[in-house]
Amino acid sequence: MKRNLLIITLLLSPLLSSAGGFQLNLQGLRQLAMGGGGTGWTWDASTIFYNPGAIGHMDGMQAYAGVIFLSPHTRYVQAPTGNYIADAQSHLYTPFNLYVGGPLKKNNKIGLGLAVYTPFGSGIKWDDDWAGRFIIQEIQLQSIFVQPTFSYNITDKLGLGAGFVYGFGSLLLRQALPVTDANGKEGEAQLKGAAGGFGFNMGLHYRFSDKVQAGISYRSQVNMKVNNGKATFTVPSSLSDQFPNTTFKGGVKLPSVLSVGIGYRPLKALTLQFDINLVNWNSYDSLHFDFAQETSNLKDISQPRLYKSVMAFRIGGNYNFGKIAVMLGGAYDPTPAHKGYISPDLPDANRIVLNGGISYRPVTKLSIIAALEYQLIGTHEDSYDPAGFSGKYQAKAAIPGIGITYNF
Amino acid sequence: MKKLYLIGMLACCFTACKPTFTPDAPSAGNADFSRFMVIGDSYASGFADGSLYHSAQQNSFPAMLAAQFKQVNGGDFKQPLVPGESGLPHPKNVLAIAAGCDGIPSLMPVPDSQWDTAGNHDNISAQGPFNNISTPGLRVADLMFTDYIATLNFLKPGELPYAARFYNDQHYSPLQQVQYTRDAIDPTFFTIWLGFYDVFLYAQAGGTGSAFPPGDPGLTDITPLQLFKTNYDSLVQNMVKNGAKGVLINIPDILDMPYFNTIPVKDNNGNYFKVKDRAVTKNIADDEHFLLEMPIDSLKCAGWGVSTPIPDKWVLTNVSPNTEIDFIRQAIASYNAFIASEADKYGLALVDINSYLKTLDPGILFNGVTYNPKFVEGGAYSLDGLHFTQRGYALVANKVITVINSKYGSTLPLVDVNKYQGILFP
Repeated sequence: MKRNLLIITLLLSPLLSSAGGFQLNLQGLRQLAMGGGGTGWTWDASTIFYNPGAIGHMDGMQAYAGVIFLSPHTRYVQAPTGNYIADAQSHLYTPFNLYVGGPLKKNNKIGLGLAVYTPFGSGIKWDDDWAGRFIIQEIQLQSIFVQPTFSYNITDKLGLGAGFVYGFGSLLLRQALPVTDANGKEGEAQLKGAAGGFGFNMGLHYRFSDKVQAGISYRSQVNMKVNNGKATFTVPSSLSDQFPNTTFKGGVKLPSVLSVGIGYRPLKALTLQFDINLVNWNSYDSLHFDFAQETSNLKDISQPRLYKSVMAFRIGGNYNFGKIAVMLGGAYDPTPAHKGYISPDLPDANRIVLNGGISYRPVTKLSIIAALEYQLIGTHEDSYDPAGFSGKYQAKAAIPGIGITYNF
Repeated sequence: MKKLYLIGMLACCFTACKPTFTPDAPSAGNADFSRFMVIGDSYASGFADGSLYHSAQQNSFPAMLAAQFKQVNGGDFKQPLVPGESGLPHPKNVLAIAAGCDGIPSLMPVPDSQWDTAGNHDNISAQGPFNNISTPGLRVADLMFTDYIATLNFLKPGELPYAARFYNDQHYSPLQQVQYTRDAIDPTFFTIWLGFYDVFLYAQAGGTGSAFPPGDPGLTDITPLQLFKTNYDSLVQNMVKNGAKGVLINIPDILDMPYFNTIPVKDNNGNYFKVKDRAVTKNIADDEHFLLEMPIDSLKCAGWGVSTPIPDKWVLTNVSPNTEIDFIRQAIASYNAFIASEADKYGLALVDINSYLKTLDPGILFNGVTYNPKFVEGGAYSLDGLHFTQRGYALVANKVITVINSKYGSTLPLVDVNKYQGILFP
């Protein structure tokens, strides 16, 4: 019963379970409006992201800016029966894209591009006293990728492009600790840090004819490392020496994505496209946090994630009415999480996505694009077995975005 | 046009896109929970931290059950609450950092300093009938014992009997109080959790009593199986008389409780402590147990276990012919076999809490918190090492609910274990 014999076995294990399953497929507005594909057809400067091999097939230099408004609503309810309901607090996220690029001159073999975009992110904030607080109270993961890119047209029809990716971002995570002080206040752990990593994005693009284009692209894994994160613990004073504020190392491996796409223009005004993404989530089989200072109660955290690679299918079309074009599309985007590993920090499920959009070209050089994505995620009963947590979730999100392109 | 379009999209985001679904409503199945009666000992009374106090009683596991029953067809649930937080009969244990005899500050349970005992000694039977007539200390052996209050229901001589607070007649036997309450309430559903003290009193005395008493068991003896069977069967018969459905809960393996596993059998140098077993002095063995109530300062500073053998009353040994630990295990096993046969005989649900509590080692996981049987740190047992924290009682309630659901086809929801109070650290 000595104080130094007292070992609190805390389940810190499901500390960070997010970051996975939250690929933001929001890197181009017109592509967003057509189900999220864009590997096969050269639409605009966002091809620097979708397929660097197609930069040389753009009509000329273009600047592009877009912003998307993401405000997901998630509800948890007790299951199979009960009366407990928890709503995650609403929060508006604004992923954005900036692109500048194109062939150096018309018909020049060399193309250049610079892209800044937000390919992965996640965030959810539950009430601090909700039923799953020992798993997650709040998580915010942000990443911004900067990608300088070079392309070369090997022939008139075949373009090859590659870009270097520097990713940076931040991680914030809070969860309650199951130690209560004399006033009934529970402990809390907060992990906070800046993350960074490197990767590349390359693609091949082929123009069979004016009517048919196809492409393949590979965006590499980016290991977003946190090297000097801060871990802060609020615990009853008699346990403070067991939970020293310390630094941690850790990280999240953002998965590689292999995409194949084809575009077809059966009529002068109509373009159809189809994409397949293979997202290599199985890079994310566990998550590790390494605390600089450990105690008998505070150990390094290594927890299974067991994500599986998934294949997403995207289909869409664009119809031009002169200055105005309308887009429609849809996608099937399955969850990489296994049954029994659905955590309330990312209550992911297979989703069907419906998209639409409109673009307007007031003058030749300028286009404005608006897009909307609606995600259908059915009510699903799931569990996160490593924490013994289960329930029903429902998430709804309508994701509007707006962008502008300017041709030089 | 574009503006309208955007406004439309945003409107959708902030209204139509919010989830609106609600949990499925629970159902009672073929059970009627409208009038619920509880018979038990300290475990069903809400006893915790070495005492009986108001907030822990309010969150007794039967009160948790009653709250879930109320979500279907359950009614009000009345318990004989003590008014204060200090506890009856003595202040509850709280955790504090205190210096031991060796001067080293340690985190240890100490008696609570508050002393709000007003009303503890009042008889409140007029406020009844009480749905929960669980009485700390009650044995199956005591059920037929008239003048139970005056003769048996005390923890230590001179302390107030728990039963005296709410028995409708001070001369009743426990079974007479059961019958009185049953007739007053006319229960449709009941739980019985008894038998712990029929074996624990022997263990608490370090096995110095008799495992096979010739007549009525004394307060340090094990209840003879035949007496246990006769009394238990009579109790169950009385409860099912009017067609009530119910649950029988069996007896935990008391030797798994932190009360018997917290004080190590070896000293800091790895040497086994010396103990007295009846007339013999021997080293304690790995599978033998010290009692938590042992004077720990004598062990730390007075040479107990090294120069002086630790007295028999603080240790459970297993040396033939006086195999105290085997006697305890055998008694629990045979009581539990009988309880199972009773459930079978009367068509009642059986909660095998014995098996369930074994799963505390390595741990029971609930919503991100792991509960294990370790003292203080394990979270399931309160500061007496025997009774549960409110969170531990919630685990018990959930086990009972699970069994009720499967037996009676109901869909009662589980309680949120972590909503209740656990161990409080200074």
